[in-house]
Amino acid sequence: MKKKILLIFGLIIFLGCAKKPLVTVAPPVEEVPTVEEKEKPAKKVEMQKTPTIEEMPPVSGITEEKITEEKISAEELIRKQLAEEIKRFEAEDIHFDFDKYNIRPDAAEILKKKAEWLLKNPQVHILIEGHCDERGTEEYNLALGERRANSAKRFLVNLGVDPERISIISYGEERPLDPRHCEEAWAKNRRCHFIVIKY
Amino acid sequence: MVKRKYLISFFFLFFSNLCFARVYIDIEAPGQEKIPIAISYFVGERKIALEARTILQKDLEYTGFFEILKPETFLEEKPTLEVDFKKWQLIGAYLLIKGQIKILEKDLEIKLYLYDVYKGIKLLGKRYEGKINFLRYMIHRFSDAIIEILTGKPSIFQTKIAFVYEEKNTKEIYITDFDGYNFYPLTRFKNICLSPRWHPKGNKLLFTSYKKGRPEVYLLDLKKPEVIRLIHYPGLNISPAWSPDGEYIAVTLTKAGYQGIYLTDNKGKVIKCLVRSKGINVSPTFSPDGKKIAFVSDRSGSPQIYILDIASGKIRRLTFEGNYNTSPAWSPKGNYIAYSGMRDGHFHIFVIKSDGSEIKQLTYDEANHESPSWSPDGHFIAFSQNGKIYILRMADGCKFPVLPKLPGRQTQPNWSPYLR
Repeated sequence: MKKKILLIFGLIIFLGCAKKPLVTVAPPVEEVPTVEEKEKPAKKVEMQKTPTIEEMPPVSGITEEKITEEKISAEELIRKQLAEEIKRFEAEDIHFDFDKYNIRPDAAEILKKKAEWLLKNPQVHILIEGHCDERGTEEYNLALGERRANSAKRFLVNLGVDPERISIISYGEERPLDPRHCEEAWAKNRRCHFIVIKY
Repeated sequence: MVKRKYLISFFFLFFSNLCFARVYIDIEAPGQEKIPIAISYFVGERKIALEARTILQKDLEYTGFFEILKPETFLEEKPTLEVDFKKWQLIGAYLLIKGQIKILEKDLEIKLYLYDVYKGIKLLGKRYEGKINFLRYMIHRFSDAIIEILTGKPSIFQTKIAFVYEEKNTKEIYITDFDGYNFYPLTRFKNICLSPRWHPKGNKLLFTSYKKGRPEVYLLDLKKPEVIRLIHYPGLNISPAWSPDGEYIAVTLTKAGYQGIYLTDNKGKVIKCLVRSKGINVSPTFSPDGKKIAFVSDRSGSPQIYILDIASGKIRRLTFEGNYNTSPAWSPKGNYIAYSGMRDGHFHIFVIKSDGSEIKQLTYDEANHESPSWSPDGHFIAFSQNGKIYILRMADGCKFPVLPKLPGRQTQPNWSPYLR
């Protein structure tokens, strides 16, 4: 009986001794899963309470952005391209000799390009501004600017552009591009400027 | 025989009247000697009396008709209304002006007299009463009365000049007295306004404006005052001109791609097309009898002045010298047309007889002289020279700046009719 008690005691001690190292090593191992198990359900609860705010938004946000970019780019590319073309169309003036309103060969080349583009873009309506240099009287230059714009319009119409799409206006010598008083400035100011008013 | 006597006496009367009118100043005779005139110091409150005398002296200097005697030579000791003709004969005066100024309760009373020193007679006596700040205008009236007595017609002292004034990229219509006083804007469109044109009665002005984005003709009523958008057909609506009776307007319009000069009624409704061609037709000006129009066209390949006979529709070319002639202005008497023409790279003011003979160049400076406009008496031409308005005296070619201190560019002067 004493042996049995001793054995049990010994066993207990042994077990107790054996348990100690087990306890010292194992507890984190044993405890971590329990902690995880305890925390997981807690997290699930939290997620149910405030769904997607912490985790979803950045994720869905990123994908949304990508989608929208892809969707718009096709239309915008066309729009951007048209804007570029309009910019190019408007950037190029044609020029005239002093007191003249006939289309010079260099101006004809530019007008041909413009007509081509206008025929490709039948929705576009334009305004042609006729301008003069400062020499001569204001009234004569108003009349001259109108003739210049009219020459440019007729040239485009002869190349097939619908006259209904082209408006003209004369600014005479009232809106110089270069305000200086020399031949270089005058040559720049004797011009037709083109503006897209509808597209 | 009796008939003949009548004829002779009639002739004598007529001739003597003519002589009287021409005793003093014959406007038509070039290089006439200047008449020595003394302007005595005026009686009355010293400061205003001196100011009044200065205004009168400047007015008389403008005309170029007078040699104004220096006050240092005067033999009178102090201002008086009494006239001792001998004292004035001795210093060589032919004419004498005396005056008195009184400050009444609110107003100013001015009495002014013109004497013929040699005949010893009073030619003119006038009394004016008005607010103190209208002193200039009372003096201007007397100046005009003097010139009317001496030449048969008033001078420019009660006239104004409308012009285009450029400031901060806008052009507005302004108005000034002939001598640069009392200038102010008529429009505040903050846009481009051009080509002011006085109605022959002086109560209205036509002008061109981009107020609605393109050039259209507006009518400004100075009396009301109000602005009406008068002529606004599609295309150009520019360079309006009144007929001498103020009933019609000639204006450049574009119709179906052609530029033409059209006649409208005074409401702007087109009556008929006067001139139309492929090229440019602009800047009409009526002859004083209203039967003809001078205008600018490039039908010969360069801008030249043409004359249209309205009844027959016949057009003849007026200018053949130079390859850029523009901006015609028909003289009040009808015998001349002033215009701006390019010579050696600069624009100058010329006059040409309306039959095309006798061209005279009036300006010579190396500058651009543009937009001539006649004074109603035909003795002066206003024009713009490199952004300043000048007036030129036809008799001797003397040139005066009108608004030398106004900083912005001044262009397109248009001289009013008599505003009396």
